[in-house]
Amino acid sequence: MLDKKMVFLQILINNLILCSVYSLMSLGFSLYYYTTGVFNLAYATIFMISPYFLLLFFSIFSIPLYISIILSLILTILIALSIEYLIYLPLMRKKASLNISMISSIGVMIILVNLVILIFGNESKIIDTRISESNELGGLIFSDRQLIQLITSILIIIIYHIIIKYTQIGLRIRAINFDYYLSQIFGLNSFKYQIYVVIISSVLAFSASILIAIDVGMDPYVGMPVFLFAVVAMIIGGNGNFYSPIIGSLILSLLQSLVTWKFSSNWQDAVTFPVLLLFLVLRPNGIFYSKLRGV
Amino acid sequence: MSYLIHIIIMINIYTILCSATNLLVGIAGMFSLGQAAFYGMGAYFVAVVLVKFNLNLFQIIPLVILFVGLIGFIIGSIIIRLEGDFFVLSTLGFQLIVYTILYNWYPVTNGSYGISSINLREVISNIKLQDIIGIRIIGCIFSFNLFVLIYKTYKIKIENIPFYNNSKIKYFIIFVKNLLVLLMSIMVIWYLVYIFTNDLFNNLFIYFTLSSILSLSTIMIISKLIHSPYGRVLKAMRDDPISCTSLGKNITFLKISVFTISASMMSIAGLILASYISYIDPTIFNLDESIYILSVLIIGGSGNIKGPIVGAIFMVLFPELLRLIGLPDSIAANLRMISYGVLLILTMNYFPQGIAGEFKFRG
Repeated sequence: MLDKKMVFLQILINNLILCSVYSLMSLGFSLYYYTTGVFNLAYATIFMISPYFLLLFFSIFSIPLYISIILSLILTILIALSIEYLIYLPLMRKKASLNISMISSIGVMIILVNLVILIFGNESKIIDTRISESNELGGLIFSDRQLIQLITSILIIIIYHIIIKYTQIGLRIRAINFDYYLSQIFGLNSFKYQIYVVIISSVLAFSASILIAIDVGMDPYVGMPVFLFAVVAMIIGGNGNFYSPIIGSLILSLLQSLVTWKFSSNWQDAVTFPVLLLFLVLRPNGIFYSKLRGV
Repeated sequence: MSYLIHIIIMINIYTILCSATNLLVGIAGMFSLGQAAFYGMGAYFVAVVLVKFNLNLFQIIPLVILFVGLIGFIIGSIIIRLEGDFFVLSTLGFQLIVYTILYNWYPVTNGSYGISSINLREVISNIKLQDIIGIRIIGCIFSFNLFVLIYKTYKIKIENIPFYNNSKIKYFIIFVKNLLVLLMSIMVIWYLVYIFTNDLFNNLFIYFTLSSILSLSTIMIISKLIHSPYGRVLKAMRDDPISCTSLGKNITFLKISVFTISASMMSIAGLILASYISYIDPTIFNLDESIYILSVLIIGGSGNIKGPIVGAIFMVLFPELLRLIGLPDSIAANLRMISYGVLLILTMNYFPQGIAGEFKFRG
């Protein structure tokens, strides 16, 4: 039989790979949240809805995989942008409070989830990509899909790093992030950069969501738990820099694997949120703390 | 007729839920996404205690209020120091913790199977009210209260309703008001006739009386609270916490106390639901229910007493109207949710005070 140490390592490996995917989501949400200050619950629906586009193009219209990924990416970005243009930007121009934006995002979430249920049905769906080989390395088992998840998410994090660190858009987004009013004084058009932020964050959500969907499939309620993981990771990580959400999701996945090992996977959420409450009460600015807008 | 009474019981439950949430969100300005957690805790406490021990109604109501109030006090005193989004997030976290515990703690909550055969009827017969005269006396007092309510409805000044200047809408509103008064009086008279002619061990009527009395008393308590100095300080705290502190008000005490009061009121709705449906499972009390309660409150309007009541009536009757149109069941539920979402967004954009509320979610 497998000894206990190996079981724990296996659980840890699985959780770490999943966490690498979730950290994309966490990065995207923290970028959006710290730039606009809107607690955007509709971000969960962006995550939920994008594999359905892939399902539509790949499985129903049977377009080749890479083209259908690009098409569904474009559709996802369009959805995110239209939510932004139709709902958040008008509210922002009215100088409505952030509570109003949050309640509207709840409305958007309800609408989109139920539209998906109306069109695609309630049950979970699977995209058959025919990648199913499993590998073994030193007694640990991991499948090809998990390898794809790990490599793709690391690649995307590197690309994200390059965009944020070395391009002009990234520089300006960082400026708005660092001090909103000062960036307004220097004449940055924050509405324009908000659109860039929406695009980048929806690309991140899209990639995380596709990576999860090729492994475990999709259902209309999958958005919320992943979104909450992302938010908790964001808060644990803090707003010190753009990469602290990754650290946050690492810590969280470590804790979750411990809980899965000791009790069962059902109690994962029950440990996530005490950790969140603990952090919010004792250290509300996270591990890496620097004073930014919106805190 | 039993269908109508079912609708009224649901309206009563949602009136309690929305009024209690209104106390927290609309009066004290603390936006919470964890209200269904207290609702669920009340329901589960009642279910577990009723199935395990043999208690009667007068013992279970104080117990459930104390239990959920205590938990609300503990949670409130922990998360009260957070503000804005972080407060909302921590209530959401609390909601998910409670949901996970209800879902996974098999020995007590029976997990996803839920608890069935919760029967308040035995409880009611345990107190010495089998005596039919007792129920009749309570029914008389209750219907007298209802007549007072109807009289007050009849006396409502139409001028306060928006769009008054439009004459067509004015006559329509007057027509609707008179129709409502007529219907309500017919129902109360029918209820009186019923309790004096039939034997009363019909479940539905007991729950109708119980839920109506509990919801009316909740509304009365909240109305007393809102119009007392305590309620005015709460409103001041909602509008400007800093200047409220500078006037020497204890913000921490106010926040914790209003959180506790709201939590214990939510548990009463849980009591009614658990005993009325006689079956509960964790999915009734998930995050969607919290969001639903909030959207009922927001669409109805918050910040005063009539907003949540209007919201509860509207949101319970609205799906029944959709059912009258004759949509197939598979589509109807989702279309209903979609229309709630649209209503929520429209409310936030064009009339942030809701249908009958006075507090706008600004600032």
